[in-house]
Amino acid sequence: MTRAQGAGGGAQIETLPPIAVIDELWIRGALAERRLMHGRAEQRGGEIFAIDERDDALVAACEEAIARMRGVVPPDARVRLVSRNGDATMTVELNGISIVTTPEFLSADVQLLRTPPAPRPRPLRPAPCVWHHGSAAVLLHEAVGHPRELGVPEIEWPRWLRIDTPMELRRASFSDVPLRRMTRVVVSQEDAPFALPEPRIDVQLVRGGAYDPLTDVVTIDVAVPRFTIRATRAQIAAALAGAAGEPLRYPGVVCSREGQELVVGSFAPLLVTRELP
Amino acid sequence: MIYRKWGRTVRWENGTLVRVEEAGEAREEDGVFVAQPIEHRVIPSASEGSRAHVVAAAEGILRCAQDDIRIERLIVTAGVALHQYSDTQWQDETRRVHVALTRKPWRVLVDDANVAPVAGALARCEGERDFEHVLVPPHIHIDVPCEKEQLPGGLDGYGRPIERRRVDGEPPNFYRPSYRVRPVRRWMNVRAIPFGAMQAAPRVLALVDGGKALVEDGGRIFVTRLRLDRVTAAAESGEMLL
Repeated sequence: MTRAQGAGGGAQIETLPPIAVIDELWIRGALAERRLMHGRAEQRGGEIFAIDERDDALVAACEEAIARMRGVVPPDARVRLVSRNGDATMTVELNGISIVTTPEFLSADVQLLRTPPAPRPRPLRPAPCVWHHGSAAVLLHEAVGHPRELGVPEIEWPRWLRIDTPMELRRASFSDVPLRRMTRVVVSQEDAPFALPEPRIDVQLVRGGAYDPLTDVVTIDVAVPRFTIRATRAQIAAALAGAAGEPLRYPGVVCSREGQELVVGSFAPLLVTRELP
Repeated sequence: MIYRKWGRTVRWENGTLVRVEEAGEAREEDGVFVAQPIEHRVIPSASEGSRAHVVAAAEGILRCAQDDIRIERLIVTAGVALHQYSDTQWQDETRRVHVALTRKPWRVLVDDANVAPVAGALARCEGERDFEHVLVPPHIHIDVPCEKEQLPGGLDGYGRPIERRRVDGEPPNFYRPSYRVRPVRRWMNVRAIPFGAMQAAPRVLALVDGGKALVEDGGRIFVTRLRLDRVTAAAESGEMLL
């Protein structure tokens, strides 16, 4: 972001970074949709002027990233390729379940969709949950990250838990208002208690989630196995029973606020929760 | 065939005023939808009136915050766009308002500029109460199971006229919210086909998150759960009795 004094000594003019985005939708190996979007914006005080001006270097970087992703599109899935200013994100959906990944991790992450874990007897809910593959990052993205974005007062979390949620002013397109958003969620543990509960539900993949600041309720839609959690932050904090190991990269969170979809990196250790509503 | 759009919008979004100029085109070839920006050529002029309208509307709505009523979300937009598809060219102007008012534990959603009466009513809300019937005015849009019709007016995403049709089977018209979005078949300008006998009942003032509504009952205000599984009657005006 660059700054200059406005004409006549008025509000400062800030040139917001230009943005170029290419996204493509591939269905079973065939291109179905392709969009190019680009533009720049200037902000003066509380006013933004945005225009869809092209930055050739950014568009070229996006084209290069898209070409790289096209080469590895799984032929039997619904795949969305997105490059924003040259980065590379792939959302891969198989059998109604999706992950968000990059070409680097594609192969390993798609395996999670192709080889669901062997079914275990599943207790009736509510039951303790064990959050695998870093999926607890989604739970804490909603319960800790969004309240921090919105300036909601913190509540007390277990002492063994660390939740790092660096924030930046981010925006999805050139015409969007920059919002204070998480760039990633890194959950870690220090000397946490850990015991695998029996019976338990093994959470493998999460479909999505939400945080409502009015009610302080967090909603988590678990994809594998399929169920939904609705609990207040206090209930979630009280349910955190333990954790083990280093943070694992969860394949993907595309976070939406005010219609602006942004990727948020997500990392969490194996985590255990007591019964949640 | 190529669809092209040139547009300007002014948008108040939670305290920031955003002015956008853009132009783009979309084409569908062999089932592939492709969209990209184009040269601006002629962008229809948006008068300073648009900016003034948006700012005045937003400031008026912000004044509705009182005591424990908060304005959680406020979007006001005014836009003008020139569209072209094949030999058809058309221009439209849009004005939209989206407001979320909160008073714990309720979140009230208002999609028109007349927010003050709703905010005043929310401040006087006495609690939640069930009612046998409620009246839903035509400007509040809800999806309920009944016989419906598409009213004539305007053009669709391919510049084709929207005509009066009974809502049945595949919609004849396409909705194109942006040049970047593949048009989808959709019924537009929909209302319930008048039937049954209307009667007095508490009147819905606005929708409340969670399938509820803010209603006025003889000067008293309540939140009530909406029963969306049945419609008792519908009037020529578009008002419905649930």
